[in-house]
Parts: sequence; C-alpha cells; structure tokens
Amino acid sequence: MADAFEAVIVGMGPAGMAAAIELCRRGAHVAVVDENPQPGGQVYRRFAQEFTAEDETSLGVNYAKGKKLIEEFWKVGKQCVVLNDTHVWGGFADNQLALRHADKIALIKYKKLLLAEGASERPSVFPGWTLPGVMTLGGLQKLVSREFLLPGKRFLIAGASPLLIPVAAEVLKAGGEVAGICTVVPLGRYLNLFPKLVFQREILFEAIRHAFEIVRRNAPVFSGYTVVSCAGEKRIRKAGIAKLDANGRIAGGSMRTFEIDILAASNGIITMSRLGRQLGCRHEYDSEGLCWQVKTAPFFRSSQADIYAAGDSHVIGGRDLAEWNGRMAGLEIAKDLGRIPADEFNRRLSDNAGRRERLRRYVSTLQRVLSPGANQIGRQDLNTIVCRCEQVTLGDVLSGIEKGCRTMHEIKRTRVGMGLCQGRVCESIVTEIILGKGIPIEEIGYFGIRQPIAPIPIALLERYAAQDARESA
Amino acid sequence: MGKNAADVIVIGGGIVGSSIALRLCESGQSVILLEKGRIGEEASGRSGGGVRQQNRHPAELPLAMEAIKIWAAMKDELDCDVGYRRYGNINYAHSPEKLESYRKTAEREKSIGLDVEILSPEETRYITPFLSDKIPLFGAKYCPSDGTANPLVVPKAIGRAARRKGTEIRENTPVLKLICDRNRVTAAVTEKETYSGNTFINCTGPWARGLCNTIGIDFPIVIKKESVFVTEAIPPIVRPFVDSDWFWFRQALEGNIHIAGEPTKRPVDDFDKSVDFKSFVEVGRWLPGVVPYARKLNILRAFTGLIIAAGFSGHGFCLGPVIGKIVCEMVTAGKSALDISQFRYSRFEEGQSSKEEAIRVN
Repeated sequence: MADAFEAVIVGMGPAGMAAAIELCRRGAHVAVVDENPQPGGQVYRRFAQEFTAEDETSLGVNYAKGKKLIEEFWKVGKQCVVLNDTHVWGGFADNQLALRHADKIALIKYKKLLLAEGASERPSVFPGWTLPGVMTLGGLQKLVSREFLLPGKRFLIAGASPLLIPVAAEVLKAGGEVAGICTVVPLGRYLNLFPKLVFQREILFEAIRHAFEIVRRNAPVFSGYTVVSCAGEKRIRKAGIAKLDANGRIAGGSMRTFEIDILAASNGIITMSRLGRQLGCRHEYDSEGLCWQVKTAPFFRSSQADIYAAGDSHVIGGRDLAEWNGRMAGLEIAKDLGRIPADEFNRRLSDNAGRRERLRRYVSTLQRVLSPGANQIGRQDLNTIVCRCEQVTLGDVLSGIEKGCRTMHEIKRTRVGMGLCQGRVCESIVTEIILGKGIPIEEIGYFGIRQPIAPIPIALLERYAAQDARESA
Repeated sequence: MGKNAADVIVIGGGIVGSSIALRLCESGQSVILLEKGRIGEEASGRSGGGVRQQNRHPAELPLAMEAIKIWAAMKDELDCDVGYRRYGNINYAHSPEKLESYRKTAEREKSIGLDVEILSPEETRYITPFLSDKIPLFGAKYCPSDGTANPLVVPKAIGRAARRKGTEIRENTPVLKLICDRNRVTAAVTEKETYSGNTFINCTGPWARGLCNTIGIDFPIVIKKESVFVTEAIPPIVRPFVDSDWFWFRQALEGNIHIAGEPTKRPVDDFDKSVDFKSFVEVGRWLPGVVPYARKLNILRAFTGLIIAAGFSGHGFCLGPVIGKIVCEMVTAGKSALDISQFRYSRFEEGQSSKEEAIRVN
C-alpha cells in the first residue's frame, strides 16, 4: 500500500522548505521530495556534507541565508518525512505520485500537493554550443562556488541573466581569467534597475561587491553583443562575439574573437513545471519572463483539485519571494486541511505586504531589463543545433514550421524534444522560434507532458512488479 | 457554390478523412474537411505504426494488399518521407496449435498472392536474436513485404497533399450535429456555421457514434485503449515489426523501441489518453522476461492509442490510404471496385459480425 501524507511537497528549495516548516508547525503529516541529496534547492545549494567551511562569510549571502532556513527546516521539519535523492516520475489517479529513489520505485498518496520544483535556465543557443567546455551560467556557478572547482583557465561569460555578473565575479574571485563578459543587453538598460534597487539593500550590496570585483580585475564587458560562433576540435578553444542586426547580419567591424577554454552562457531563468503540466494544471504564458506559469487562484491553489504551486516553478521571483510564497502556500494548505482558521491565514497574508510588493516590482523590472529580446535564436546560423538530444537544427525547425507545424505538439515531427531530456533543454528555444513566426503563444502551447516525466528504467519496473506479485500472493 | 458548400463534406481529419479528401479532390470533387482540432492529432497520430497484410480477416486482406501499393508510392506521391519501410512483420507462435493455425492461414494467404512464409524456431531467433530462450517458440509466420511507417508524419502529409489538390481544410472546427431532410443528410452544423453538400462522410473515429446519434442512427462503436511505451533511441537491434498473441514491439527509424503488451488493453468509456501506473508495472512484469536486453533500457515516453472496434479496430492506420480510394469510388461511381460487402452497416442488425471482425485478428 502506498504511504499516505496530508501534504506532499515537491522541491526542497526555499519555497518547499518554508511550506514544510509552516505545515509541520501546525502538526500536519508532511513528506518533502527532492532530487538532490540535501535541502536548499539551486539557490541555497550546499557543498558536500563531508566538508566544513573555515570562513563562512566568504561563501556569500546565499550561503548565509540558506543556512538559516535549512537549520529552521531541520529543527521544525523533524516531523516531516524527507525523501531526498528522489525523483517524482509521474502523478497518477487517486492523488498518487510515483517516486524513484536509488534503485527502487514507490507510490505515495497525498491529500494536498505543493509544486515547488523551482526554476531552470533558458539556454543560450549559438553555433557550437554543444561542444564540451560550453556550459550554463548556473552550471559554472555550482562548480565554482559549491564544488570549489575551476573547470578551466580562461573564461567567456555570456548571456542575458541575473547570474551573469555574480558568476563572472565568482570566477574572478576563484582565480579564473575572464576574457570577456558578453551580454546582448545594452548597458544603459541596467540603469533602469537603480530606482528599484534602492529598496533592496541586500541585493544592491551584493551587486556592488560583484561589480567591484569585475572592475578591480579589469574584465572587459561587451554589451550589446551576441555569441555567434565557437570552435574547437574536441572541446571549445575559440569563441566569437559580435553585434547583430535584426536579420542576424554581423555589424561591420564588431566581431571579436577569444581564445578560451570555458564558455558559460544562458538567457535567463524560467519556471520548471513538469509535474504541474502532467497533472493538468492550467498554465499561462508570462511574456516578460518568457515561460509558462501555473495559474493559481485565489492564492496558491491551481486549477486542479488538491494541487498548489509556489516558488520559482510558479512565478520567477528569486529566493526571498520564493520563501515568502512558500510560507503562505503552506499556510493556505494548512487552512484547507482545517489545521488553522481562515482568519489566521488572512492575517498572515498582509505580513510584510509592502516589502513583498516592492520586491515583486524589482523582479519584474529586472526581467524587463535583462530580457534578451524577441527571437534571438532566429538570428543565428541555420545549422545551429536546437535540440541536442536529437541533433535537430534551427533550419529543420524552420522548415517544419513552413510545412504547417504551428504548435509545440506538431513541431515534434522534426524530432525536437523527443530525446532523452524530454524537451527540458530545447522547449523555450523552440517556443521562441515559433513565436518569431508571428504565431500566437496560446496556439503554440507547450510540450505536453505525460508520465514518465523522467526516464524510468525498465529494470526497476521489473523489480516493483516482482515485489508486487510477492505481496499479493 | 457558397463559401460553406461543397460537393462533399468530410468530417474528421485523421488518416482516413484526409485520404478520402485527397482522392475526392483528385477526381474533381470540391471538398471541405472539418476537423475539430488539428489534422492527424488523435488516434491516427497515436497508432502503433504497423503497415501489415498478414493475419488479416479474409475480407480485409485484399484491402490491405491494395493499401500496400499506395504506401509504396506514398513518398513520391506526397513528396515527403513518411518513414515507410518494408522491414517485414514477424508473428511468433508460442504453441504448436498456434503454429498449425498459422500454417493454414499462410496457405490461404498465399493462394491470393501474399508472400508469407513459416519460419522454424532457429530462423525466427536468427531474425530476432534478442528474444529470451526461456520463451517457448515453435516458429513464426513472416511476411517480408509488411512494414511500418511514422504515425506522427503520415496523416499530416496526406492532409497537406489534400490541401494542395484543393481540399479546404477547416481546423479547430468541431461539427456539433448533422441535419437530415427526408432521409438525406443536408448539413453539418458547427458552432458558428452551417456546411452544406451533396455527400457527408463521417470519419471521426471514436466520436463517430456521437455524430451518428445526432441523426438518430446508432453505430455500435466500442473503444479500447492500448498503452504504448517508448524507450530511448538505441542502435538498430530489430528491423521487422514483432507481433505475438500478447505483445508487440518495433524499432522506429530514429532508434526508439515502441512496446505494447496486450494486457494493457482495457475498455474505456471515454477517450482518456493517460497511462495508468498499473500499465507501467505490467511492462516490468513481462518485457524483461521476453527481451532480457530491455533491463538496460529506460521508458522515455508512454502514450495511449485508441482502438475503435467497428471503426477500423486498430487497422485504420494501415488501411486509411486505401479507404480514401474506396470511398472516392463510392461517391463518384456509386460503388467500389474492391469488395467491401462484408463491412456493410446492416451486418450489425444481421448479427453476422464475428468476434474477429470487431477486434484484432491474430
């Protein structure tokens, strides 16, 4: 029989942990599931448990904030069942979730489900982006600041992302050489952030520290530039950046080339809502953040009964908003479970409302400022790979659209999104390409997601079937 | 003729509806095709992809053999590689009785010109070496001219060809009801418009019963669902479509293996496309025992196909293209050159429909 919980929370980042804390405080029987070995999510990722830090202040704001929340989670969350290293591979009828932990499959049941899967990065796509040595900004950040590994000597840091400046600064601090910081965003646009940053002192100080590091080390910044090529035999050795016009033509004299061994690039942070989609929650497109969000009303309740959403898999807002919303989602679930009266929930809703609203406005300005702009990919070379699993090129996708594909479902006929990553990487790129053809987003839709939402080994299904047969015998 | 009028109104844009529209346009009829969603997205797009002649009901075999001729020419005709490959269809006999019945079927099929043969267990294992030696195997029936095609591509390609030949395709236009006047259908009503024509063709698959009900005809359709599981792409290990009493699998050109086991077929009362947890576990129960190599693979996707008994009972993908030809002849000449008398509507009232006609023949 499947273990049953009052609430199951998918994701142990700030939103998931905060919700678990509030629910456990109210005595609810809770399980928290996460693919990672430790709580923290992406933003509060720890280093491996076997290590300790001599000087924790050198690890930055995220480390300190994360430590506080994780400690609270372990203290209050003692009553909750922590399922780490565990993948959810499907939601099934009767409020059941199928899990995979190490080499086992299990089913659990929920009364209420909170989706707090977090965010992923929107890849930056250019010729050669699938070469070894090219990685996402978040990937490089994880290596440098949490694994303490510098994967190369000379770096090019590129893209339009809130991670751009922090990653460049962290690489410099770790002793890497930054050949260039390249962003398609014009430098002047960053100025729009300052009026909003005045209220976000913590973020402002972080930004100043990073900027100081970059100026001190004299790392060149190329703003208005796009990565247009990378080359190398078995791994990246060279990259070229240039200013592009709307048709993808290189503006005269703007081409710059670098000899580098690591290129980190991504174009922003987008929601990751695979389980929510599979379970049929209604989504709407956020044209600022360029991603789909679970539609919730009035607060964190999705269109599907018993399913809630919070954190960056709901609305991209960063660590603090995720934590706040996670707490409120936890309280709303506690209210719906009858564990707290409705007026307590309503009272808590107005806590910090002003600060929260200012932060929300800052995030939305940040998204506008850092927006890479429409159809970046459409300006790249036609032979650029779009779907790396199935090696589908930009040209293939465009010819699919020419043949009449208008939706994400139909474009799969070109084989995009059909590979082992199940479309995780290429979805936002393909959406951008179709949008660039003037087809409305409502018609384009998203990749439909069915179980299994993560590849499931047949050998594990065999083991489960054998155990199931023994138990029913 | 007005904007919403044509010689023929085809309702439903699956492989059958699209094929009919294509042939009708070629013979000079004006055609409007009304599709509730987009072309080829429902049962046609979720078919197993087999294009098979062997082991069909005697009345169906000539149709399948005629269909194969159309399939063979499809790449040139549609100017699109629909993934059709004649890699054969192999059907295991897990018991001596089954082998005997295959021998009889093979003789009948050979007598009307189908190239089938009975393979020894050794020959069978040579062609499909991944089969577990623990599975009882007495031989197999093999038809080398059978094959597979890509269900994601075919219906859309036929739809595009129909459009090129002049079919007016109206997508996202569900037909709500038909209007009858003195025993003739005179109009198809959608949310916003009314379409009129001389002939109306109902190609709506699982929705056909509901549409017939709007003019007081009961069309006894039963829907079953079959869950198909798809692995990651691997290097080629199997070319023919492998069939048996209780499972089938095939390797797509892209390398993914498509798998279905008979036990996952269950009657459904709606068109639910989801795959339940039990069906996943069932794959774990039988597949590694049949193909031990499967233990090294992952399930990447799963989808549910619809088998519409008294529609085409899971044979519509293979036969679709020839149905276009037959129905076109019926509309333009009053009758088809191929014998389709065994599929007359009155068979339901006469009570002659045998079990094999309703469900898949093996």
